[in-house]
Amino acid sequence: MNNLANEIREKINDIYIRNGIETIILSDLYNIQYATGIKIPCSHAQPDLVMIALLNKNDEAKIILPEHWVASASQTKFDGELISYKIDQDPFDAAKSVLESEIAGTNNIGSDDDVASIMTSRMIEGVIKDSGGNKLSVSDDIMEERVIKTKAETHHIQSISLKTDHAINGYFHHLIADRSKSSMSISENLRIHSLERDIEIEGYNACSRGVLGQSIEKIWAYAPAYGFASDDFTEIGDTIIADAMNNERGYWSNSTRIGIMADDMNADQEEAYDQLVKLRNIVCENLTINHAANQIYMDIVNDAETQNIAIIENHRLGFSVGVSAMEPPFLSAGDQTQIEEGMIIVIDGLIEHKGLLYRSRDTVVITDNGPEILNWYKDWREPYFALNTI
Amino acid sequence: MSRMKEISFSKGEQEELLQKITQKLSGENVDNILVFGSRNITYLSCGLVFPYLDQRVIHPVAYFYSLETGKRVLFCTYELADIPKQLDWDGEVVTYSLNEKTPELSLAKAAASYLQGEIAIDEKYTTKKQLSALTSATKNTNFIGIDKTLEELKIIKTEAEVRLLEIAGRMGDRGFISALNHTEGAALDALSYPLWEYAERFRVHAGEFGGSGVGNISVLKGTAARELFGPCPPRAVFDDGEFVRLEYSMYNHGYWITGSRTVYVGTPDEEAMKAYQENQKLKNAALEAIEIGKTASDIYDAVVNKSKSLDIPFWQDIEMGHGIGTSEREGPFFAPYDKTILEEGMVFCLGVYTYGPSHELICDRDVYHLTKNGPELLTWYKTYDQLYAMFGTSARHG
Repeated sequence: MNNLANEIREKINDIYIRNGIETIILSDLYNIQYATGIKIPCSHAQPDLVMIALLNKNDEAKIILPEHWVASASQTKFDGELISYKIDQDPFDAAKSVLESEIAGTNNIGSDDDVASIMTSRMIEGVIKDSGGNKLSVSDDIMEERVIKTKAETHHIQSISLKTDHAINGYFHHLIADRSKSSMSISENLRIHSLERDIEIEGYNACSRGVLGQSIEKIWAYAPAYGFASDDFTEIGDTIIADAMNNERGYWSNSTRIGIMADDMNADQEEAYDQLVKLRNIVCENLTINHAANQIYMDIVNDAETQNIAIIENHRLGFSVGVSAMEPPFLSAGDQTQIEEGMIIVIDGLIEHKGLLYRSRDTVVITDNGPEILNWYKDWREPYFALNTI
Repeated sequence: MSRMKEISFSKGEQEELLQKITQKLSGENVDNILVFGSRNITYLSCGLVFPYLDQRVIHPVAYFYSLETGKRVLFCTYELADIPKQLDWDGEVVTYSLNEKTPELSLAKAAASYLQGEIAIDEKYTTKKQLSALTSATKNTNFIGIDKTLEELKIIKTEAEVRLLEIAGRMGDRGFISALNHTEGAALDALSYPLWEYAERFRVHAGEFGGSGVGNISVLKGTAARELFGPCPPRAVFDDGEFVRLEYSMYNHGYWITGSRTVYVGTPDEEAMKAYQENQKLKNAALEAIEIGKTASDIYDAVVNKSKSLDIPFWQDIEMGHGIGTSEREGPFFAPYDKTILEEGMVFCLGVYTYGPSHELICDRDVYHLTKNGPELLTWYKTYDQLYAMFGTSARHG
């Protein structure tokens, strides 16, 4: 078992102890990955293929999964047992049948089925009830563990978030202000530059995109081509908002940076970027341990108002990353999670200036001394400036 | 060919689909429906697509349709609120703020005033947590499952849906061929052409040819291709005399196709050629078996029988195809358990995994539309009935 697996195992052990249980059923795919390391990228898009993890305090973990995913699961560092079901049965019924036989005789069983689909949740509840067991919800417990990253998790997130920043800069380096680029070309090249930094290729949201010029009035411009962008072209002086989500060793980065197609900003860009820098400083000043996320959010909103920063009303100003690319805690008006040492927060700086939306995201780890930025390949007190033809 | 130019629904086509939906739901006495699954949102809204909803990169989105009032409402957070407008959708958009303890509660509070009485929901995609939030935020509501009805609706495509899938197939094929074209000439240049670039070239070109996004991407070569999926080590390169298989899915305006193509690096020997021909024999056996009125499992059985009679083994741990539409995987499933009766208007992917000389998996998956005359090929851009040989030199291809 590697460091990461050991660290997570200890966290899961705490859940057993807190709840007085010896068995946990996990059906949420991100929770399964967190607890076992098993990640099947297409599984989120193919929910009819049921995967369930059975964790046991005193025994090896077991994963119930379709036979054709076994090889992929075997390629991870998971050292438990893989119990596969065949295609002679409906996947849902087959998984249910295996689960029934595996939990027979177990009394108190923890389950994260609150965050599973109603159908899956009903099945798990039914199986536990029929076996005479007692179900305890542990979905909040799992999330409480997930929000505080272990040493190895922080290392992985730092590595991938730094590489992503590096990749964005690596591509920006190719920009030449007076040579027009399409948003599609920018999107592709952000991806390529990520892969060139030894980031493993993956589909779905392991993507990137460049939004430029007037299109930055929208956050998810170019719908529905979110990962490809479109065919609008840069003009000298344009703003480029570059997004990239990357995955490495099962952990995500979720980054956004700004490039300017000129060697300086115009007055509006300068005003907007200055607000973003101030907003980042405000968030960092307020992002301290032992304060609730919603209180921090309100403090940031107040400070932003004082400094005339045009944040978006009710838009959350931060979130976390881990085995998923967006997860709690959220810096929002409603999230009451206490901010603690070891949390990772992606500061989601977003401001509006003259109808355009400027965004920059920094990934930080919360320490005793406040937030520590993990992903500054370069200092972002100023955006990236493209060269002119030389 | 002009039908291949319009890559999204026209207003008329959206109305036609909405009429079909309304008719079916009315027939089931559904007055109100609320869905959370990305595939159901795209389908019921007749074309709304949100970024990576299945992967939960955004906060929950819900779509509500009242057959009583004709009201169509989309619930989402601020960052998504202009997407319906971008997609020229004319329903109501309600933006919710994360003011409650959880995003699920925040959405439920925003939706509460719209929800009353019996409301059909997609239980396969709505989380229990979301249902609890809806129940606590509303009064006099009763939520009932509607998944079976939705599946029955979605499994038969309208003409316009078939067109969007055919276009997606062409985009995918052109993406794949472009990946081949870029790789040819450079495949054996180990210094500058890694394996990942082949897969990435697929993604890039699927976009360049108008695709909306890519889902699954997995590239496997040599003995690693004994598995369905697998990691592509960042520094892996091509080797002469090996099969390379690319697994992919991609979509056009919310309509998904999946593909699997196997090619050979260098000049294939007799053994490799034979292995590929055997794959085609079993695929053709499946195609010959497909006809309206048979069950999906009949097709699987037909291939099993052919496999025995020809002594061509195939990988039997995976179905040999399935329906596609607003998701990359839906019914019918060509597997022993699925007794769905095949009907005109279904669209599905089909490919059989057989074995190469080193036990690597070979597959050639295409997309078909079931018509009165049998399966009609939608991924017609280039046929792969012969083994594709990808030759490599040290030439530089940009």
